[in-house]
Amino acid sequence: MKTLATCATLVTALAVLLMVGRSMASGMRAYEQVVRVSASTFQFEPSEVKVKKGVPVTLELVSEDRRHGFKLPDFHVRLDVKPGVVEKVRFVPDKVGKFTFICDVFCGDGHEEMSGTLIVIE
Amino acid sequence: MDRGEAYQEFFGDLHYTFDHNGVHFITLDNVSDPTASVGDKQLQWLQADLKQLKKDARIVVLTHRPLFDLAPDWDWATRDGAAVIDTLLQHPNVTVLYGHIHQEHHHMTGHIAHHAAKSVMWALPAPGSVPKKAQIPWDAAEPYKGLGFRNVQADVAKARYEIEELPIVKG
Repeated sequence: MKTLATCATLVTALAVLLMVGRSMASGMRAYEQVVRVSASTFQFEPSEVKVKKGVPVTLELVSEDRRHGFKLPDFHVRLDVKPGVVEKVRFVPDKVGKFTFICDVFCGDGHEEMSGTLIVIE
Repeated sequence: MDRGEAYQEFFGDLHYTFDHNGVHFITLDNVSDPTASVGDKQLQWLQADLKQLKKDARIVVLTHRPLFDLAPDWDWATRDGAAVIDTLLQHPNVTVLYGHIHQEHHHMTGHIAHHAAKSVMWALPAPGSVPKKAQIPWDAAEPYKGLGFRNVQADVAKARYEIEELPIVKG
């Protein structure tokens, strides 16, 4: 009988935890920062992206012309960017500052200058 | 852009080996692939080449880009460079000479020394020293500033390399 009661308590506790988790998750989603960045030879648009620290960011990346890369090393973000496909990546900026993102798939003579800045504010 | 096609037409393979005075030279291509990767095929070729060498062979590896993450936000790295370094680490006498960054730089990954030399043109700034990577503007007052080349003297028996940095013009 005692074991049954313990089990019931555990199940209830788990259910409460799940509900809190879901509620937190939906709350977080409301504050998600969604930013679309387009890549074209040899620039990102916008080239400056401002986000808030601690609030999840979803970057939506699309190429206007050919294959490019998107690399944001400080947040371990990298993906291929192709025409006609919206690539998404989600991360939480956990530090304030200015961070460079670059194209890391060689795309021509101006490739070396193809970069932008992520600005994370408090 | 052509994945090294024109180069191969004139000079041959993009990766190859040769032996000179007791040193085994391995040239790796980490620049003609647009993603700056060595690639699985070349990595397997490297592993096969190393397998047939004596464990204590004197090995010098030549690459264009740094194999380690020198400045990832300037794209001064090789995407799968860590796998190459892991492979090379199995041999005790390995030295890597690379270019790409057009300046003197020395770095160790385990027992492997990586050395970049100055270039004879297009001087580039030190990583992180300026907000955006760009060529150092040419200065008529100091036309050879930041440029130079290197002489490497090998002591094969001791697997040691004396490096002498030389300016374009001796002052």
